[in-house]
Order: sequence, then C-alpha cells, then structure tokens
Amino acid sequence: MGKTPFKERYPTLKSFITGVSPNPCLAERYIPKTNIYDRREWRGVVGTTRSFFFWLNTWRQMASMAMASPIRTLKGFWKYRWLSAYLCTPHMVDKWTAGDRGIVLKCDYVAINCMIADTVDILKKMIKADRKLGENKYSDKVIPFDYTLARHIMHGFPDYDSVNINQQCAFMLPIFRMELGAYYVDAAVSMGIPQDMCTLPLVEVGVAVDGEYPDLGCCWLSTNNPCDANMMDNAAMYRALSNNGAKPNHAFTSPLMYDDPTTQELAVYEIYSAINFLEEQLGVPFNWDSFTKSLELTNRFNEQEVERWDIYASSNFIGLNGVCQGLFRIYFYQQGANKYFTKASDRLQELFIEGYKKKINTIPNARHRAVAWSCGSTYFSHGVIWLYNCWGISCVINMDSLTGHHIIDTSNRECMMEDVADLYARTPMRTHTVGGNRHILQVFETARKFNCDMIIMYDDIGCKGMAGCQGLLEEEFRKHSDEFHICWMPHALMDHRTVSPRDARAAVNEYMYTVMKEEPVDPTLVDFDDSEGW
Amino acid sequence: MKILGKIAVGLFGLLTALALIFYYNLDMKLMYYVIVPFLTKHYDSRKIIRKL
Repeated sequence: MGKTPFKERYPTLKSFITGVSPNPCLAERYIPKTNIYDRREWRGVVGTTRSFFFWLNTWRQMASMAMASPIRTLKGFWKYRWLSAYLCTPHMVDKWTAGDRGIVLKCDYVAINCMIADTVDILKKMIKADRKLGENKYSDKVIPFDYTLARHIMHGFPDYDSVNINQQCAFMLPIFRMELGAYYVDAAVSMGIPQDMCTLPLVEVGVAVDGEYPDLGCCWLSTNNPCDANMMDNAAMYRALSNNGAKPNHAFTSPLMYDDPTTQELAVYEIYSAINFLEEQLGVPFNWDSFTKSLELTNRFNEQEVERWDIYASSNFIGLNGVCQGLFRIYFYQQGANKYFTKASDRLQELFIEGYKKKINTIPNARHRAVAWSCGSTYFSHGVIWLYNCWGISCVINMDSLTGHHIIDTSNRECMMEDVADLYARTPMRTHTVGGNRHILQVFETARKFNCDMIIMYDDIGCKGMAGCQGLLEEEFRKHSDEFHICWMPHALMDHRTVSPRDARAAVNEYMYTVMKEEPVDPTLVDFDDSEGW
Repeated sequence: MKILGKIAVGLFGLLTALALIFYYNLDMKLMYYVIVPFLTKHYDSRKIIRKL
C-alpha cells in the first residue's frame, strides 16, 4: 500500500498541530501484515505529549510489578506463557485509543490507567502468593475465586487479598495477543474437550491442562458461570484450582432465571453459604462493616456511571470510546469498588460534566449512533473503534456495560442481601443472554434510550445459547427494520483463526457498501491484512 | 549551577531518547521481533505433561 503524502494528511499547520487530519490513513501506520504501529499515532502536539507521558507511566507501573519481587517475577515469566501477554500492554493501549483526540483521549487514559493499575496490583499479589514460585506465608492470606463472580463478598474479609484468578490467566490473554487464545484452545482440545463449545472456557481449560494456574490460597471459590458451555470446564478447573481436591472448594451459584421472584430466596441463601464457607476456611468472622462500606462505594460508582449514560443518551459527548467504555465498566463490575475505580470514576465525572457543559461533540465523524449487542470478541475488542474510524459508526453503549448497576439499599441487612443477590445474578453475558428471551430483546429498548439508529449484533459463532436465538432475533429485526439498521458482526470470542478480525471487518464492509450504500470515512481501514499482528 | 545544568541536559537527553523510542514504537518492535519469539521458543521447548 502506498503511503499518503504528508501534505495530504496534514494540509494545514493547524491540522498538524491539533492532529485532526482530513485523511488520517490509520492503516498506513501499521507494520505490514500486523496491527502494530511502525510509528505511533500523531495526535497533535498536546495529544502526542499526553500519549508519551501515559506510555512512560505504563512502563513505570509494569516495572513496579517486576521490582516488587524481581526473582519471583522472572520465574513467573519463565514458567507461565500467559504472563508474557502483559509485556504487550503498551500495544493494547495503542489499539484501544486509535483515533482518539482531545477530551476523549484524556477520558480513555483515565479509564485505562485505572485498569492497568488494578491489574498490576493483582499480578503483584499473584506472583507474591504463588507457591509454584516458592513457598511463602502470604499465600494463605489470598482468596482465589472465579472471575465471573464479582468481588463484593471478599470485601468482608479486609485482612485478606482476593484474586479472580482466571481473569488474569485466561480471559485477558487474546486482548493483548490474539494467538495466545488460540494456543490455549488447542491445549484444551488436545485433551479431548470438544472444539465447538464456547472458546472462553476452552482457554480456561487450556491454562489448566498446561498446569499454568498459580497455586495460591487455602481454598477455591467457584461459581456456576453465566452459560452452560462452562459446564465443560468445571471438572478441569476444579482439579487445577483445588489441587485435585486438596483445597476445599465451594460453588457460589447464582440463578440464571434471575428475575423470577422464586429464585430470590435461593440467591440470598447462596451468598450466606459462600460467606460461611470462607469464614470456616479462613477462621475469621465476616466483617459486615467493611462489606457494607464497599457496597456504598459500588453504589457511588454506579450512580456516577448512570449519570454518564444519561450524557451519552442525550448528547454527542461520548467521553469514552466504545472499547474503553465497555471494558472499564465490565472490569469495575468484576473487581468491585476499590481505590483505583473510585478515583477514576470521580475524575471521569469531572471530565464528563465539563465536556457536556461545553457541548463538545466527541464524535464529529459519526454517521450512526449504535448499540453493540450480545457478547463481543476479546481478540477484536477494539473492533468498536474500527467501526468509528472506518465507517463513522459510534458505539455509544454495549450490552455488557449494562450489567448490574442498580443501587443497593444498605439501610437494612435483609434488603441489602437481596440487592446483592440481584447484583451477583446480573453479570456480564448473564444479564441479557440468559433467563428468558425478553432479556436479549431489550436491545431495541436500549437502542431507543441511547438515541441510536443502528444495532451492531455480535455473532459469537461458538455460543450455542445465542445460536439458538438466531431465528427469533432475525424475526424481531425484520419487525424493527424501519427503526434501526441492524448489522451482524461475526467473531469467535477467543479464537481468531475461526473468524479473524479481517473476516469480521469484511462482514461489516459488505453491509455498509451494499445495504447502507455508504463510503468509508478512512478508506485505508476498510481492508488490510493484520493476520500476523497481536 | 554547573551540576544543575548537567542534570538538565541529561534529563533532556533521556526524555528525547524515550520520546524517540515511543514515537518509533521501538518497545513493541523489540517485543514483536525479539522478546516474544524468544519466550515462545522457550515455552514451546518445555516438556509439558498435560492433565485434564
């Protein structure tokens, strides 16, 4: 591909200084066949300087992780393939902020910095506690739990650290380097697990069969997970994370039919049951004050989040781009309120209010406002940014952002526990894709609320639940075709070989050319080869 | 004053070098062409007994 001359990219001095180009030609910045920049994006003087200092800070945080226990960290990198993914964090930041300018860049960096700081914190704890890297007493002070469980009840044991172990060791991997998802899928399949199930539990099992989960804590808190594909991985995960039954395990289950009132009592019982299990294993009583305080912080975050959604719905101030908005929200839901998220949310609130009052249009190239529905890809999580940069489709909100966000009544314990049970039930994926088709069909109501004219419907081809809904969805889409443009975007969640990012882009391109009869905002992004990228 | 001047020049030089590494994406190029292939070769060479 020939490079666009500098003068065409930046026809005026102002466009160079501000970094706002009429011909951004983003794909020309990549090393051929990859999505890795040959030269990082020029975002204008202020934006590039901001990016530079953010990059420095990212490396500082990564170095702090290594320096916390240098020998153990080195051993970890030598032992665990998954840990090498985190070396590519600056690349993830590049992917997640492609095309960002001005206040959006500022907001995105606040959200990403929070996630990086929180992840570094967890990785430090994992490395410090892992018995496979050397025996130590700290390990008993750590509670390992399944990452599809939110952290809330762990806050009731303030003297203990908790680690959602498979989030760092499995879920995050293709976000950094897509080939890592494929490697662990193959590892699981080589042991006889069917290849055609959801690739998320396949990756989790792959890490388990390779013996790469750290050994930490004195017990293992598992869950029934949001979908039935995970049934396949339960035994492998149990064996790996309980050391073949040597560590006590408790399944903290949550109802799938969560809005059926008859499940409420059971859901509350399950929380008490999990708390009792942890009290027995740790030998300390549950600290209700600490638990309640963490829930109040969660309430505060959720109140601010809903206010931000109001701004999205009523203006063109889309402060966080699609990928940062979605992952920041999901990450918060899983981690629960802590110092990083509280601080980041406060700062975001200031920036959002400032941007809203100044009536800043953060999506000047937008032709469509979209809601992205169903489960999104991990290896192509930045696909929502591509949608905007290439076709001017601004993904205002996505399905998994709308996980549990109701306010918990902390005034009395009975109400509080009922609300917490509901919060646990409304996890990412589970909220809309299980418990009755009325949940998945909330897409239309959501699109209306957020003032969208388009629906990007993710088609995770390995998801049996959603495949079962395909006919129903098509029927409903036809009923709403005068109200919304609806475009399927295929992916295979964790395995880029089945549906590559290029294939996903091709499906959208075809829709935009043939159905919408539109031309791309940035033609270089329409079709490019990134098959050897991360 | 001389020491302060030297520190300022040193800092400026360091920042310039870092800015070049940043803009030319040398950190991720190092990862892509050297570190990740090296680590992957190491991981692939290990004998792993897979257990379900």
